Amino acid sequence: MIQLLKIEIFKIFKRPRTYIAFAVIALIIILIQIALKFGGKEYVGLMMSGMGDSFEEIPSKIILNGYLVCFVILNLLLIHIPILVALVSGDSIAGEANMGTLRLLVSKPVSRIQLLIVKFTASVFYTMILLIWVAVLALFLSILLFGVNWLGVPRELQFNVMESDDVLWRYALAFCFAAIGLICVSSLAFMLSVFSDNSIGPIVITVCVIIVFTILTQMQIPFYDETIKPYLFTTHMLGWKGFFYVKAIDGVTEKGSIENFPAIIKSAAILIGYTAVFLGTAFWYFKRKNILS
Amino acid sequence: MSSIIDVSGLTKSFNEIIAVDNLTFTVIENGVYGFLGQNGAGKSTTIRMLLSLIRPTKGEIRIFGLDLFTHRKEILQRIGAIIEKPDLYKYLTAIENLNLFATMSGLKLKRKQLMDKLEKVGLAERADSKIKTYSQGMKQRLGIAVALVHDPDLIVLDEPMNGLDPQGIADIRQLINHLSKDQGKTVFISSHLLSEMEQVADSLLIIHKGKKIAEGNMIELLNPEQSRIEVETRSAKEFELQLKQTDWTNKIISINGQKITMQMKREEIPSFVQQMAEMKQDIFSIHKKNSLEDYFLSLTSH
Repeated sequence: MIQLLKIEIFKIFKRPRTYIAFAVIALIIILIQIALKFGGKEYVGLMMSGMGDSFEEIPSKIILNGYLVCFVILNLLLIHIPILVALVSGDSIAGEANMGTLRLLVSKPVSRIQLLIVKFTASVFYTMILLIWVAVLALFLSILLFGVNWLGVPRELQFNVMESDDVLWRYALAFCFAAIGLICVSSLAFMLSVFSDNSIGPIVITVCVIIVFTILTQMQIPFYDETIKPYLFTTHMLGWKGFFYVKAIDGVTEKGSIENFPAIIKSAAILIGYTAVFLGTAFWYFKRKNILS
Repeated sequence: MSSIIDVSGLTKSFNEIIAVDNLTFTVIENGVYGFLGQNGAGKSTTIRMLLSLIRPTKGEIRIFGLDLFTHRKEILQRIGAIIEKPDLYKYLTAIENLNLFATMSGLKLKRKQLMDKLEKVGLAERADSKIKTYSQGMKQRLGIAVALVHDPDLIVLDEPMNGLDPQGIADIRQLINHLSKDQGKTVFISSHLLSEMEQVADSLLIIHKGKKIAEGNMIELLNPEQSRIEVETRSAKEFELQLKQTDWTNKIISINGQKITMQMKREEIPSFVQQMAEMKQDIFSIHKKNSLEDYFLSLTSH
């Protein structure tokens, strides 16, 4: 099994297209960092407007540090990274069918279930490497460029402040949560890949689902808030932000606290549930699939 | 000799369409078993069922005496296959492709061992070139190396000569003969190239619209009782006059320019050839007309 997994990972990282995602992420993150380096003062001003007079006296240099830059990047990127994840997961089985190699793989003395486990694990491995790449660039490069200080996270009519020694563990958990969300997207693209003999279809459908669900998630319509939003996986993918929402007593934030930890756990559980359904469907179908490609 | 493949009552339908209809056949070990049929006759579907790529609607497949569905892994461990064209990973080199499929067959080969296998198909010098730079013939040879990398007992080839030039076809024919005659492997091969099949196959299975229409030893199937001989001479008329003085005259079917066509029993052919030599006629060619192609068309053209 380990040998088969090594083969799959080898195949993924031997394809030039695999590196497109890494290049795109690096480009976007660096562009954001350049923008904040040279136009950060205005950005912070905009962010703090409406937060009250007490915040206006804080120099933007303090607010605009590596932790905030990372938060801004994640806020912008974590909805788009799934699209890049779909490039590899959607190609996983359908790409083999398209190349004509699926029939060769399935006629080898490896069970279909084993083959799918190895393929999905390789996709997850790629997703994790991509996430680590994001973490290195968004967090560590931002810390290097902007330094560290306390982290201020703006919310509706609130501004959650965390001391600098109360931030890194939150990022660690936020990245772990993001991993669960990305694995969920990966399993969706993987499931669609099993149904198709052409990798374009699963990739495009996954991207469309993400776009439509994200629009629905962000629409401020009370009817959707109760009927649709709680069931969309994209709603729960935003759960990582919960690690940066802290409890406050008399306007003073409580160090090491998380405002609504059960909600984060619930979102993670829903994402894991979706992943199980997507994978279960993929395994059920692939075991019976006639390989005609 | 024991049977390698035992298929009984094999049926596959795709919705309303029956691709393979109650097919039963047996492949005996150590020989080349030709599998013939027109396009859409159900050859590829049958081969895919033998390799567990397609689930049969009905029927039983036993290979090496084991049921395919309960002993899939053990059986596939002993089969090497090329299914239609040998599609491999174009972005990988030949040695990477070979190593990858060797690993999938449970082998851990060193570079030298892989190079030896590539050497056998004449690709050692291009071992580190990416497949996208290969010609069709080279891809086919690499496909064969991949199919044989784990030294299988049964080799299944689905249209292995498709897209090859004459030299490539000759190489494949030579390889099939080598595998069967020298190494004692069993080869199950489907092909559209009937003349090639006639040269390599010991036994034949012919299917038409999913059903078996003929099966057996090649010589028996090609109806030795009624061989048609076409003789090309300097003058067919002159030759006919000579033949009229013998009993062979009754065997003449037609005369066309320099060619004279006759019908006789297979065992009569040697004495006929001997008598022709005695007649001192200028013979340019003698061609046996009831080829596999004639036989195949007689079965499938109606």
